[in-house]
Amino acid sequence: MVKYGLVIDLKKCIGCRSCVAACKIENMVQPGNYWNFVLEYEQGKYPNVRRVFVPINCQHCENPPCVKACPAKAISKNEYGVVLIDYDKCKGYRYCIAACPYGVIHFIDKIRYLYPEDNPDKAPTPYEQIPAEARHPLHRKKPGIAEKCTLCWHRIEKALKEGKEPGSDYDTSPACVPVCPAGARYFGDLDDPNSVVSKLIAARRAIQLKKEYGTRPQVYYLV
Amino acid sequence: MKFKFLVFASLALLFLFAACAQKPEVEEKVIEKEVPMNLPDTAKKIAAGEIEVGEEFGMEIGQRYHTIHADTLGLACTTCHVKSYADDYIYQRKYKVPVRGAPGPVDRGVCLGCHKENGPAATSLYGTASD
Amino acid sequence: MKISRREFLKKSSLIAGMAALGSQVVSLSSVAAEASKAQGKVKQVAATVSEDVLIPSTDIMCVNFCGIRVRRVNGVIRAIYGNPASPYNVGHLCPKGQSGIFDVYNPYRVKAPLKRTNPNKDPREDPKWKEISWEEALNEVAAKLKEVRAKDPRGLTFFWGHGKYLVQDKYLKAFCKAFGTPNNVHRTTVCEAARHVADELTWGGHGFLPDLEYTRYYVNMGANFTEGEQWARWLDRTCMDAIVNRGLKLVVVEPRLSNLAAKAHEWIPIKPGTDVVFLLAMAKELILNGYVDKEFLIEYTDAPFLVGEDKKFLRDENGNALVWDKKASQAVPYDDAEEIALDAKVTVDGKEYRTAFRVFKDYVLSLSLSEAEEITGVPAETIRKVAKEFGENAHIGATVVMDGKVLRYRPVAIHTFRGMSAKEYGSQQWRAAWIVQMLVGNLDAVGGIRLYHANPDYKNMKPSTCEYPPSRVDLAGSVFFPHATHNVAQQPALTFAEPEKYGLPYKPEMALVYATNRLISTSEVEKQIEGFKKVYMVNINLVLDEIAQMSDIVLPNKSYLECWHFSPTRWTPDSSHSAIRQPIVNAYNLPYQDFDILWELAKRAGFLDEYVDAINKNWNLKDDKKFEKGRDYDAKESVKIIWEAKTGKPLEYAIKHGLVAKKVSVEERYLHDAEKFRGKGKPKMHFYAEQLVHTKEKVLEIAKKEPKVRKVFEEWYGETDLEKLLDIKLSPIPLKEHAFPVPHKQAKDYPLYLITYKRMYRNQANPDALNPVLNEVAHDSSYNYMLINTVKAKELGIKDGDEVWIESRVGKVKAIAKLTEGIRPDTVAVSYHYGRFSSAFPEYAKKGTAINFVLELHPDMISGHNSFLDTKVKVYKA
Repeated sequence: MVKYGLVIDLKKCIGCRSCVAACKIENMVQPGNYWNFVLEYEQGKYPNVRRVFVPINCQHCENPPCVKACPAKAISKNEYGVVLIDYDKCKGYRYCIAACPYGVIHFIDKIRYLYPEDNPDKAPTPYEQIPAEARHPLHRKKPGIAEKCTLCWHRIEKALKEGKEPGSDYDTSPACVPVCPAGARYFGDLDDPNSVVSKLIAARRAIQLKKEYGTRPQVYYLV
Repeated sequence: MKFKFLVFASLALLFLFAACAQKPEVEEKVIEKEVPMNLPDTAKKIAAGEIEVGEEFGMEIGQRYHTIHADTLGLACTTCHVKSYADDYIYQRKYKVPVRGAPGPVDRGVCLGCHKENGPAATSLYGTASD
Repeated sequence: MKISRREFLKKSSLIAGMAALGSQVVSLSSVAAEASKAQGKVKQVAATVSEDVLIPSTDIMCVNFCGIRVRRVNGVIRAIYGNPASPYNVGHLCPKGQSGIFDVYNPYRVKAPLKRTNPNKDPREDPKWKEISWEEALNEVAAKLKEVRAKDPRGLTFFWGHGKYLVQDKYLKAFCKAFGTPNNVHRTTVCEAARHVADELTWGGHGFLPDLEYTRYYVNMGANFTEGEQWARWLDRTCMDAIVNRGLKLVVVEPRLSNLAAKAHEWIPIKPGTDVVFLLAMAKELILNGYVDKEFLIEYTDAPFLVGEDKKFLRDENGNALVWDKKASQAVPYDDAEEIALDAKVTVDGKEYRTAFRVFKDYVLSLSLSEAEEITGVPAETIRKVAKEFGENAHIGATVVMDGKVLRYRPVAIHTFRGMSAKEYGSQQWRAAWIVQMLVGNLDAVGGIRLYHANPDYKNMKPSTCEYPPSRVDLAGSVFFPHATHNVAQQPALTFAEPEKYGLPYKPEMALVYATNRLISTSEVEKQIEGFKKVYMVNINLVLDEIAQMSDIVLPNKSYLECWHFSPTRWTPDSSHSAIRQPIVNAYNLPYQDFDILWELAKRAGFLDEYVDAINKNWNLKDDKKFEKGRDYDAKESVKIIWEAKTGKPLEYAIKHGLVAKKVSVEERYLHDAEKFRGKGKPKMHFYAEQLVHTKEKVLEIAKKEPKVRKVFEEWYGETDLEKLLDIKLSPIPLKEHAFPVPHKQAKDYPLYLITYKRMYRNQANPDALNPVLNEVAHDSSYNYMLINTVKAKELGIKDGDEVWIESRVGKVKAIAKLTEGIRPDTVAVSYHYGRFSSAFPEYAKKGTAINFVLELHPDMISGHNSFLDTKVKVYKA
């Protein structure tokens, strides 16, 4: 079996939001929505204080509550361990959003544009005008559906089609991984003990978020 | 398990008004109603279709979600909706205004009580806590 | 050019209709189909995938110049990825670099030449632009250039900031040279100019990197590369890797818990401005505990030179500085000495002399640690501990062998960027860090500090000529800023306002402003505005920012993804590379890029031949690889000439790969720069900046003669005792007085220190404020706030999110308070690139506080650096 996941090194994360920008642009994420986001908070009192950054995206749980919660059966976990929303089946009930303990699923209420509609061009940018036919199906979003991280499935899928190992280079990895200026993000097969992610999990203290929910996330954090 | 039953008569109105507001004022009006005594039983009855909760899925007031949780199971708004999250609450949407000006965000911990594996609710969403 | 009203209605109704119907995707291709090919219009997008390519180029969203690959789908930029082939960023890319798409696809761009019709020049007022043709615009500007050149070419000032990194300043300086003006003004005094000047005063080059691959102990004093620094993309990955995988200890010394301090083993919240005392106290501890690399000091530096009561070196009749030869018991030239004394006090011809090392040692030993604690707010124990750890980790005396070369191993480094530079005593502050590092001998040692292009003959290694009257509008190199070699960005506008005040022997008439925005990036903004009102202004720009709104003519430039450039690049300790930028799209069908505009202006104003000569000279172009007179070049041809001359590879290689990289050998890495000073027969690094003593004499002499000079000094520094002022300013060694800038001494009713800082989501005064992705990558990236300590806020009755006034002696601004544990209680901090105020900017881009309005200006006399971190304020609820 193959089970793709991420390892994020919180010791390295500098809170720069490169992974957020990469995700937004790569996946044409609706303005105001985030497939990937960095939480930030302080711990302690001056002068013994630290700031913590936690990048958070869909945890691609082994036991995903969103899949069970969806009345429309629009969410599934594929054979590579990636949890995906089928935009054609999604009815916008938002039960997945309510069920997800990580808050990583967002609703598209209406199509929103990057610039105000009264901008001098009075039109969306050419980037936003790239038509459905020229986009991967996962980037053909419409109003009234939920959206979330796909682990850049379009890249994994392309790699598999071309006979490449997903994660073996820049373009076969999720967009958030190779851009990370701190080199804090890793992608790979959690079922392969020799993968970079498995090795890191074995070597370092790795945690999963909110284990009390029994979701068994495929995103690990090195602390 | 007993739940104090609060109905917010002004709730629907509130949702209408609060659609854009960041910090809606919650005006509470307590109405005495018959309180279901046994939550798991009620949950099972809902699942079995013995209690009418509507056909329409969705999060709006009047749709199944709130009909089940607020009207039928009798959960108070404040049982689920908190004022704001703690700073270190690991939840991606915590900086976003809750959908349609709900009285506050929801700590998913409250869902866990009923929706865990072999929990009292009919729909088991969450698994057993792992190590 | 605007889209017609009718067209607009059609489009907006379509957008509304789609949302209502919930129809498929953003499919607005039908709308785009209406867009014509004409200049200024958005291009149309094809419906099926006819193209999906990656084109290599170089980033310029900040000054890291990362290698990028631009993904173009059907003629549209779809994404920007890092280029893994770049040895500098190895594919990594920050949010700015990725968001560059929206510097191109930015509806707020200038799309045609504009001419002002409203005579009132204020960036907050509508200039009432009139679109004019390129012919008209270029001819009008050329006519003005001709007029100024005929009258007095020095009347032109050419400002560039980012322009240095777009078309590159070799062209821009060539333009100035050919025109005949000395006034080319870059912007380094808003960042790290004082640091550069301190480098130059010490070892004659500027720029360095900690050798982080081998460093064990790293003290960072205000170079927050996790948010904004010129070497950030190499520093952040190398530093984080070293922390996690190699056990590097990172100590961050700064008043605010920056994102770098958040990653540090230890955050030392120091009182603003007092770093110099922290370093002097560290030096004291190092000396007391024997952490002194005597061999390095004697072999490489002037620390053993004998200093007299007059603070000058004892010299022989040939001008050779003398040292004390212990064997011969006499003062002899360095090259003749057998056994050189480092720490000595001797009598020569009845006069007492101390070695420079002893002068410094006596001074630091006179400072008590408790005094240092009081000044810096850092516990004496902490200073002692850092000094001890620094000394221990330096492994003084150790060597390692790499590639067969025996190299000094000193794996400790101190680093700063804007933090120690942007101060009234920026140069002296960073000089203190060099002295501490010379004490342990880590310069060009493995794991230490890697120097860049050390040059013992550089002019700042010698006394300044202190020219007066000044030849430049920024007063660089003059009696006002005798060692300013990186231009003085904030000064020209002040000189424009009152040229006679500074004794300028001519009248500034015209400013050409290209890719820079001084109204956002300097202090005391109202004075800047008043100054720029005095000259005819031409602006080459992407958007109508604040400086554009003050201009007479605005010429639209192509964006960096639409241009040909031979790009600057960043070296790393083990690599260097050459790179280009190539056009990916032309979003608004603009006809000209920067190169073309300058060429056309030089041609029409009648100095093209001189321009061509100066270009060839500046780029060192010869033989068949150079620009010829009597013909025109387009931007691509210009890049071809330079790329081929510099790399020896055909342009096609650059088009395909974007860059060509080379590995730096061990020899080049460690034995190239500091070695220029090693041993006999070589000049010495300046442990002791004797040249400042000579400079001081000249400044004093001129100031005594010229009441204008004294008046300016008095205004800047509030000190009438000239001798005392100059003794402190131009001291050959850093002093504790350098921890007290003017506001700290004078602004008694303003209890809080105000510091400013950079954030990841903005670069300088770029159009980033308009960028929709940068505005939403973090929950708080579209605005800034005033950071205040929670305890202090409570004391002042301020709650998180409250609106407050920040008031200094020069003005007040409103801000939103953000309570944090990550700042000293006596300090507030505001990021400096928010609160944009151009009348052309939409509201969403204007969020936040423009803190520069309240910053006092007391420039660093040595380097001209702006005092961004010295102001004191009071804060109260609005």
